[in-house]
Amino acid sequence: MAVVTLEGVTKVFGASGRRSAAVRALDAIGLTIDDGEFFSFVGPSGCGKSTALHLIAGLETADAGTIRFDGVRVNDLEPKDRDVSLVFQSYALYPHMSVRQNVGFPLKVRRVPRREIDTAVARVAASVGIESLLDRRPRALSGGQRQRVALARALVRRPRVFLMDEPLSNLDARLRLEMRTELKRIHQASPVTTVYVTHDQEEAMTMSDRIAVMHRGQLQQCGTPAEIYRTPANCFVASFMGSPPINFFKGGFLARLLLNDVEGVVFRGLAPDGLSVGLRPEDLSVRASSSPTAKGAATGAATTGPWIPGTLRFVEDTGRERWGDVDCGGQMIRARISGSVANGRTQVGQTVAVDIVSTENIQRFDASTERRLCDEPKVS
Amino acid sequence: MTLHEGGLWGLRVSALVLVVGFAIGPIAWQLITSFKTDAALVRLPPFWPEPWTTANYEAVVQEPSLLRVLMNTLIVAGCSTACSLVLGACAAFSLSVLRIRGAQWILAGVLAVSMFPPIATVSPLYLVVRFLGLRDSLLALILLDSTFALPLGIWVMANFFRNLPPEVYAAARVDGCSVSGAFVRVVLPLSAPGLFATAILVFIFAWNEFLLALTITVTTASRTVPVAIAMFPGLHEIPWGEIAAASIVMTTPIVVLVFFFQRRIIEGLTMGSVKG
Ligand SMILES: Nc1ncnc2c1ncn2[C@@H]1O[C@H](COP(=O)(O)OP(=O)(O)OP(=O)(O)O)[C@@H](O)[C@H]1O
Ligand SMILES: [Mg+2]
Repeated sequence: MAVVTLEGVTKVFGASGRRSAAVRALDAIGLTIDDGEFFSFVGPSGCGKSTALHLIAGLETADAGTIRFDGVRVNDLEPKDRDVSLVFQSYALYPHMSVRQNVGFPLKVRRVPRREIDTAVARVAASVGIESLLDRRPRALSGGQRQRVALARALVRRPRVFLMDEPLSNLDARLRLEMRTELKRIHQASPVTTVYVTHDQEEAMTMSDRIAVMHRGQLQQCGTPAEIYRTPANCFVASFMGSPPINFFKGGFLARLLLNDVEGVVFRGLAPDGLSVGLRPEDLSVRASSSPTAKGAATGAATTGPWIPGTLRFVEDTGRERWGDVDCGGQMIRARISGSVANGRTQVGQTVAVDIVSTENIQRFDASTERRLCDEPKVS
Repeated sequence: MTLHEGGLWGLRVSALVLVVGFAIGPIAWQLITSFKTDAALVRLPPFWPEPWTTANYEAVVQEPSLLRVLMNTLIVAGCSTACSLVLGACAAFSLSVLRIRGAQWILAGVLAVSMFPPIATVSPLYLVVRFLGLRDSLLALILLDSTFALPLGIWVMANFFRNLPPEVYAAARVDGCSVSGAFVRVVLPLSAPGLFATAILVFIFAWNEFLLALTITVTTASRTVPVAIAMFPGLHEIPWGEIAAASIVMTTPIVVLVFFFQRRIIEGLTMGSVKG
């Protein structure tokens, strides 16, 4: 178990060759992962998540910055001396060994007695559900089975740090949920520092103590799932975390919202130009509306809160919830379709009203820097 | 349509016959010749040996140095193969998997060195061998053959190592192997087909090597197969029949060897390691 600290860690690929081809996979990343913490990296493809894990594992060398385990600089340590285990995104099983040998390999290399290896392999195989596959070769396994073997090979040991690169990406939905629970159980039973990479934000939200959101090699925000969701540091974090994604309003549309008497709630004294406002779909609700025009109807609406008029263009039914895309004068707004409307009375093309159900989570960003604005801005 | 297909089929068959004939022809000719009597050798019709005779083979087998020469060649080829495989694998590993600065320049240099015509190096090498007192010894042949086979071996194996999934080597490192541990436990077993291919190439090269062997060997103590075959004519007129029989006898081991290991080469070992 260890505290993992990254200080200004930078990795540039292809720097020795032509300048134009250089990729900044990691750009001055600084963060601390606490002892026993379940920490996730999330971000879109190519943002540097795998690179970060490989640097912590010692498979790549940092071009700048320091990596510390428990305060001790490990930049120059060999992977084997860092005592980490890594689930590779591409599994990286040993094709010439059986599943049993694959899983037992980290122990065998460390000269653990045969008997102990056998019990450890049996235990971890049962935990990821590959007992029946132990005598097969990797080439005789399906993708999901291979991924569980890779997971088992990492879990067979108790290292200082677990590194997992999208370890559940290839499992079916039900198995993925089971494995999530199993990983959480293992982590709770003996909390080893775990660095987890996923592009599934729901997985990150449900499993992690803290999350780091990455974009183009840069750390966007680091915090608890609630912090990331409620107080995103910038537009990117706000739009990446949350499904369906957040709605952004700016420019002319915001000015029209002003006319619609919602300024008191939305703007709190800020001018609409230079402002970008984010509203999550679950804080918006679609309601059938008879009056097509906005201005007059706004004050006379049945609900007390502010609302936006529009036309329902598209309905997405997830089974549990229904989401509607509403065209509000050129701006598309994604909003939840509430129960009564969902009973078949709302049709595509119909005139509707989008209620702002909750004003608690309205996000305000500077439109040019895309940074978050303070929650209680000074009234100008 | 049918005509077209028929034409295509005919083309394929004739191409096949041509290639097979080209490859097998000389060996078949040699085989046929080895069963002819000296008198039948100089007449072309009949094509087949008129009286079949095993006299040539008897002469070869009764040749007292035969076993000695075969053993010599086996030792030279075997040891050269082992040497260049061990050295070559280590070199290829560091040049392909470990990220050594200027690896491509070193590889280019290796290739450039191997382009020297051997004849240009024979006399200096002879002087070196004589200086070391290794003339007419198997050790000298082993050393020289290994050196000459090394560039080829390095290239073939470097190519093979480079095409292994790099994550597998990385996984071994994370799982606790040192660089050499990962090399021995993971990279080498995965490269078995490449190693066998290299081994066979080097073995064949060393088995057939003529120029150096001719220069360095003096007696049957270190004479190898190609030299021995070339030395056959020494006695009276050229005994083509016996040369043919000797060629057959001495080439057979290597043909058997290649057939034996061929399956291992074709086998794909890396399947199933990484995604897609
Ligand atoms: N060996 C390499 N050589 C050159 N560029 C690389 C190398 N490895 C990664 N990169 C680049 O670095 C960037 C980050 O890659 P990385 O694999 O860390 O992304 P990722 O966040 O894991 O993405 P994904 O979710 O698709 O796995 C990418 O732009 C990638 O092209
Ligand atoms: Mg990745």
